[in-house]
Amino acid sequence: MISKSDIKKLAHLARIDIPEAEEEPLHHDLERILAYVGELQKVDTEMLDARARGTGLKNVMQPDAKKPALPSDPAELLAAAPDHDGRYVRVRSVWS
Amino acid sequence: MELENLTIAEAHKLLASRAISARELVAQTCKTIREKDPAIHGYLEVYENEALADASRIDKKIAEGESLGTLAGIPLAIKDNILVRGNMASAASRMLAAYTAAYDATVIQRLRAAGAIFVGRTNMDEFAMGSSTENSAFGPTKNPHDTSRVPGGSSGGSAAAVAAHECVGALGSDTGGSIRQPASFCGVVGLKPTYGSVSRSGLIAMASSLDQIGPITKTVEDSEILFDAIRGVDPLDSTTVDRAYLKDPKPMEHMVIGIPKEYFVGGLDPQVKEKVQDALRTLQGLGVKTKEVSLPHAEYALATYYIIMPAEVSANLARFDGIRYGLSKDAEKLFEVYAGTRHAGFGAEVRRRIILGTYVLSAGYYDAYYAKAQKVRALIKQDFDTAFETVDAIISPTAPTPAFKLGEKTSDPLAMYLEDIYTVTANLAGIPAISIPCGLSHDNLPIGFQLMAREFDEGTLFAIGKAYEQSAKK
Repeated sequence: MISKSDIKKLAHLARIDIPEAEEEPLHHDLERILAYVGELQKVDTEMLDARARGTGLKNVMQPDAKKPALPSDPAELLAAAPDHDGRYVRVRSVWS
Repeated sequence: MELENLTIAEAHKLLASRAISARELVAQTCKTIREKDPAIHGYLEVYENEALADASRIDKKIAEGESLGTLAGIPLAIKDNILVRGNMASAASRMLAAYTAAYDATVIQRLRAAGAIFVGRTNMDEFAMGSSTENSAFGPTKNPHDTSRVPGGSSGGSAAAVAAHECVGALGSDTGGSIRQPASFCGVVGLKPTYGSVSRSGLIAMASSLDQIGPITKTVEDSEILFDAIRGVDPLDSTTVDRAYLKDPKPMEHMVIGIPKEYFVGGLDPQVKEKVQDALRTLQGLGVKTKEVSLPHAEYALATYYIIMPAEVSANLARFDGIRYGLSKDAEKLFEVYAGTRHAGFGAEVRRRIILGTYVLSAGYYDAYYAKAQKVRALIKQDFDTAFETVDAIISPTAPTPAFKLGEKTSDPLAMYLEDIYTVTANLAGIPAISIPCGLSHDNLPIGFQLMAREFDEGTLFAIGKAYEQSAKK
């Protein structure tokens, strides 16, 4: 159903390091959870579409007026970043 | 004057008549916290000095003859995933252990405007993922009724703080039962409002099609007071709906309560079953009619939930990447910063749900899992629509058992997930649901029953709940 190599691939997609020692217990848990949620295959859903339902609202509009882009002081938000340079958040090289 | 056990409504009367001051009330609350919380650990942080200063400001307004609302001067506890500007908000995660909120959640702005006083932030399962508050990165909360047992979760800190009178009321959040199940375990009232009735701006998101903020209180009357203060449309959460609910919808003798035949079967603790049936008899004594209803897809609700919720979790928690805020593990390459930060910052349950959510959304599996679950969700909603054609409310247990022992379910995620079996349906269907205490087990552990109603019909829950409480008091 889900293989060990799937776990490595999913960890990569989700951007989470999963150390070797944690792969086996995670694999075991996921197999059991997927077996449980697999019960849904028994339900006949032939006639239904999968659109998400919510509150029935659509096209929620806001007035086309100038307002602050952020609820907070930009300096306060920048201070929360681990590293910044002036008004920019500094990150490690994207291309390497 | 006995200040310790006051409800919001009682405290308001005493404050309004100047029999007590807000400062006295806050000081008493902080004293109770100092005495009791070391054994319970409901709070992650208490703001005693700020709360006393806020109380003095309220007292000054009262002395100046200003007429104040019901919540003015009332000490409240706030779950640690709701932002209060200038205070820490960690969601009980290492990822946000040092994070300071840069703005107020909308519910906080509204409570602040009403004069409520925030005494502290409460413990929870990390990012609201769990049913016992044992998944907190800062240690578990204990049940005030028996400290060898869990308070439920994920809003376990808020429920325990209310039950132990370490605050007069509290806010929690509920994605699959996280307000109602701990309320049931701790013997207090917990409301999950209709989806779209309370703004989530400033709530650290878990699963956005399911999350709602709601009150945890000592009585149904208090639940209504807090709900009235936080509800209503907000431009910062575009899912909020401008729709008031009907107060005092109809007299008890015209109410019909549905009993879902699927809900009183396997896995339900006999003591819970007995107490919920006692509650039903009490309601019948008030003139309420009952009727058997069928929710044929209820048995698939938990499986549906454990696909949709992790899918949304995997998307929402992608923002925690060590770049803009929160924990950051430095490394040579950007990818290593992401992956290392997310391994170090997230606990095992959070990682498990992110990986599961990534799986059910990934190419080749999407239709079998996520699309299928969305369709079953529509069927679950349809079941409720059909049932509510003939009944005003539906009764069920809140949780299948009373509070369990610490450590009892931590090694088995599926056993923990089954705690939510009666509560997830309301989140999937978007309808309001309340848990109300209905007695004690042989071991003196609280048991709660759940009432569910139509969308935006909190009024029916409050009306039935208040009538039940008055009758049960006699």
